[in-house]
Amino acid sequence: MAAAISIKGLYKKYGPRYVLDNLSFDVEKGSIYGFLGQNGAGKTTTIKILSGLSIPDEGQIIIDNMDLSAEADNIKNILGLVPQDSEFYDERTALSQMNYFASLKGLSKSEAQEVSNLLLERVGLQSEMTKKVGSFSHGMKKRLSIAQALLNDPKILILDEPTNGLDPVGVRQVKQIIQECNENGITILVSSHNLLEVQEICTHIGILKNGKLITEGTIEEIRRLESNGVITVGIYNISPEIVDLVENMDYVVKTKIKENNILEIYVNSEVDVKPELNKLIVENGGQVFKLIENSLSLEDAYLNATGMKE
Amino acid sequence: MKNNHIFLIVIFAGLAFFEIASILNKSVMMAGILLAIITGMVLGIKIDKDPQKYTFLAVFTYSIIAWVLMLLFTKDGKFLLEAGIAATSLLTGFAIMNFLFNAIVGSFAAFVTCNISDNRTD
Amino acid sequence: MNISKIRIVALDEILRGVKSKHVWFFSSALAFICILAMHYSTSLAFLFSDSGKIPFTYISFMIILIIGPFFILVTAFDSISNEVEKGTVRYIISKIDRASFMLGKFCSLFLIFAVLTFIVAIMGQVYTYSSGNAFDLERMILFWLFSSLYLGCFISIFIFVSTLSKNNKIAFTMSAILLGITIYFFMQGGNEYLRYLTPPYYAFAVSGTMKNTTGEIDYFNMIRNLVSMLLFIVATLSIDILTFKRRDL
Repeated sequence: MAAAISIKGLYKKYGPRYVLDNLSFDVEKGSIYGFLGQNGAGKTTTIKILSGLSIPDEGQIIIDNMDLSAEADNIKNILGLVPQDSEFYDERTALSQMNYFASLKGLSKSEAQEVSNLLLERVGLQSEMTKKVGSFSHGMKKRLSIAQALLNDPKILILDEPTNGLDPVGVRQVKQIIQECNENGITILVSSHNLLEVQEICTHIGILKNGKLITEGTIEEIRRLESNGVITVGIYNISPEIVDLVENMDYVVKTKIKENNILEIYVNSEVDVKPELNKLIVENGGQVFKLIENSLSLEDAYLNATGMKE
Repeated sequence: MKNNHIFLIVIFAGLAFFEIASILNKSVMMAGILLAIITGMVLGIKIDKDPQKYTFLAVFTYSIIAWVLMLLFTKDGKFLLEAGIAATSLLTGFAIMNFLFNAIVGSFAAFVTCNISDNRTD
Repeated sequence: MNISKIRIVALDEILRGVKSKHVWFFSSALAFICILAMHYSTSLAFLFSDSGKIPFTYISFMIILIIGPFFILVTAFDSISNEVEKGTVRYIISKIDRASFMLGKFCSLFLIFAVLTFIVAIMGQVYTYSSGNAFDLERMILFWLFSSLYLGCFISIFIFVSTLSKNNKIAFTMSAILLGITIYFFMQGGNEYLRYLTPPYYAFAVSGTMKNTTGEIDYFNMIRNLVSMLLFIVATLSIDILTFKRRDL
């Protein structure tokens, strides 16, 4: 599938420190790409560069077949941004701010009024649209932020930690909005600390550490990749001969006998080796009662990838 | 290089520049302002934290040292000292005011340079 | 740079902006002080050499020259830094280019002060007429052009400081320092070239024409200083835009 966002060799330096160090990744059209990483990993910097709030030192960014360095203004027309921890003008009403942002997006006065009403209704702020934003809760401001990002039907929506500081109801509402947008064909790039939320809504994820993308793929791919290929086999009549035979297989790295006739086998293979292992054990007199390939939770996979697991 | 080292180098460079300006018979007022701006620009680039403070101190320090050296080792200085305590105090007061202005100009140059060269906001 | 976007930003700033009331208040205060000074100068007519020809335009011009920059300081210092500090600039810059935003901000302040100086210019002529003298349209237009351009120079200078500052506190301190430096450079006098960098140099150069209510207008001097001020504004705005384009928001 074609890439909605393609980043190649991105560098950004603050003082002597590289915040982004040769960062490259693609976001497929129509996907929800979760951007994970610890604080200071470079997620917000990447998002700022993509939305034109920051200038990279080096690298190429292609958004919807347009080069960001040459066609920034055209890109701004197809891009919606929900920045992290940004405030609105407290003294103005939600509708007034939406109208202003809509006119900046090139809509006429009547169009701006119509679209603003629709979007505020879509994010559940229809009854609050004439209230001043200063009286809004954090969740309401976040929803307003999403509404302004959806002005002028963007093809790509970028959200920087959209559920940060929200209560469970707020989180659910934001997730719903993101999923609805994706169903309408919008490509979404979302950065987050919340792995559970990423697991629920994202189709692809990329894990960032010290400005480098250390792993990326679908959630299943990452879970498998980071599980280190551990297969757990339960054998009733486990014997040292069977263990020796298993250990001598080409793709087996090591084995470990655990209690209750459980054998843990560490394999290094890209193909599914479970049938072959089962056949070998059974042919040598072993009675297999369990054979499973370990699948890590996204949290464990994330901790493994970032080297944070003890 | 440590901030203190840069600070000292700038002070010595400032004194040397003043000497050159007086040898070339250039306006000390103009030279002082230009030197303060150059000092601010250099320290704004080289020092990561509080370049305004360092520039203010550097400009003020080398100006004071230059003033004392002028009083002690030049003919004009001796002439001024011989004119009595009142004249010396008055002129020193004016000079210090001038140094303060130059230091402020230098600080502003450091602020501008620092914010243009290091564009980090968060 | 997009003219329609500049217009949208400027209009929003003038009519609905968070700071619009604040800017209108201070610009009106400046105009009010000018009108007040012209009004009371009739009571102090004996102070002037020719009590029948009080130079009303000159009085208001000097007030704008001397206290105008302070009013610009309090209205323009946080024009960009406030948006950067609060983060509202991120919503705007993700939709339009930085140059349009910056020029929109400049135009909003410039237009407000230009309107108020125009009112002062008209009031000056009203006072001239009511004291028994003829209208002097030429001086009125020159007063309006020079005072609005002079204030425009300061607006562009303070926007520059605001662009560089991370928050309003730094912006205000640095703007005040820059105003002090400008006065210091202007006061250098003599052969020092630094005063050519200050807007008051060009404005004070034409104050003689404003004072002399009967004599011929030195058009060469007028045009030279007018062009210099325009160039000053263009150069400062270019620096503002370049600086703003380099900043991380």
